[in-house]
Amino acid sequence: MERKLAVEVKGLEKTFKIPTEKRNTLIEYLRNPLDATRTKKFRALKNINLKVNEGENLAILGNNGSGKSTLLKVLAGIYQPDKGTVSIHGVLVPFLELGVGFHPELTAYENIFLNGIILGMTKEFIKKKFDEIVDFAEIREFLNLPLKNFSSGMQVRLAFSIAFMSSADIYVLDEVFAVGDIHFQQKCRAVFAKLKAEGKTFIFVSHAPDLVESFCDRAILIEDGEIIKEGKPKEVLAYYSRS
Amino acid sequence: MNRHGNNIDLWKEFFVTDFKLRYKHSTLGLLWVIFKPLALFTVLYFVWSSLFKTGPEFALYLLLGVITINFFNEGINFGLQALFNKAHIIMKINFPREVVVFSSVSIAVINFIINLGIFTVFAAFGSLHTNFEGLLLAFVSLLSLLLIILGISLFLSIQAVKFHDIRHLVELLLQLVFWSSPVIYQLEVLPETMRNLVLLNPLTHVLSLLRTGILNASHITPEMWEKAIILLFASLLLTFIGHLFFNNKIRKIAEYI
Repeated sequence: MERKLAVEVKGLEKTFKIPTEKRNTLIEYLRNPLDATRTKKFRALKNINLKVNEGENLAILGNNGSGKSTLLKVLAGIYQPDKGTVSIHGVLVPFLELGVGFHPELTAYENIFLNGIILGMTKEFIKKKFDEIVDFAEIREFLNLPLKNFSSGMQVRLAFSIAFMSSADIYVLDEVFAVGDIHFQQKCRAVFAKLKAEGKTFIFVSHAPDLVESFCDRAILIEDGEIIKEGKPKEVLAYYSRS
Repeated sequence: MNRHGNNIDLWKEFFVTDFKLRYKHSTLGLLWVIFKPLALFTVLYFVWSSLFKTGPEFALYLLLGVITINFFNEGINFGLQALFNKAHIIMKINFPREVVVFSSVSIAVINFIINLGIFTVFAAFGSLHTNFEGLLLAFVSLLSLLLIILGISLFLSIQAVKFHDIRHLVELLLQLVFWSSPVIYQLEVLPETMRNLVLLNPLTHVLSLLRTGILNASHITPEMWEKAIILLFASLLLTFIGHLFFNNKIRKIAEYI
């Protein structure tokens, strides 16, 4: 059966200009207004070609600084490609960080709405899902407590619970898996399994080999901004740990 | 998901959250919104009325000027910092970025509306000469002012991310704008060369239309309406240009941060 494409990346290039000296004030610019040469070019992504099918779970492996997060940010629409195209079919919700926009001074109740709306939900939608979020995070008795009084584990639990209420087709995750205690992690895995069964697409960066192996259908390995290996998670993991 | 509905929710959420946080940890809370312009007004009023002979109508003239220029200052300041203050969110998720500029400027709008309420209380004791036409003229001039603030904010919010010290420069320029607008003085008292300079400042026209509309509606002339319409279209053009600039640069904003 022909599967539909969820994400297609063609010839993607991303280059950053790294200033050899940081110029963030006007004086620094005025001193040398025409001098644009004091930057180094850094090719973060080189000719990336990638297809992800609907319902597929893709793991992205690679060392720190290899370009994984840059790729995720391009997929999330935060960075624009310099060259090449990125087509997304469906609603993509990125979780490059859990609890985006969380404010420590606001109560859990307020933060649920703040974070949910930033993630692209409507207020109506959150109201409908509110009880589900609170129960999943197990924080009902602390709803009116400012977030700063939450333990970090509780904050992450709350963030996770909001995140997976969003009705996305494609989830992009940057190492946000191992959250909470063992009891909560089991709940999370159950959610992933459920979403996977519903045919959602996952693209995630992870450094946890067991998770990549058990959860993903395919893996790619990125080194210096290039995909150097692609295949079954087991093969790619073996290649990665060897090199 | 309904992205359009979300944009409105997003605007409201940023707006309500920022408003709440701004005054959360101050003892006087929201009172600061009215206290600041009122304090400025009181100082200016006593200095001015002890230096020169001023009638009671001057108090309203001054108060209206002070809260209007305060609106402009706050609007520019909040708009300027909008993207910068939301950098941590911008780096993590994609949403229509202009929403943060709109929501920041909205805080200045609310502050201004609260201050207009205070003005109305004061005006009840003074002499207010307005009518429907006057209120309409005042509305058009304030709408122009809002558009001017938006246009400048759309431009500055991007620049503030690239040049961190631009807000100090803007602070300086806002001082200049304050003194080159007839807030505390009347245009007529200026020597002609100075007056011609001050007339180049669009805020001069906003203030004169607004004051005529609210304090002196019987003196509205057709030329004033002409001026108001020109001002409105010029402000619209400015917002449009600001928006073009914003759209052009915003795609790369995450790289500037």
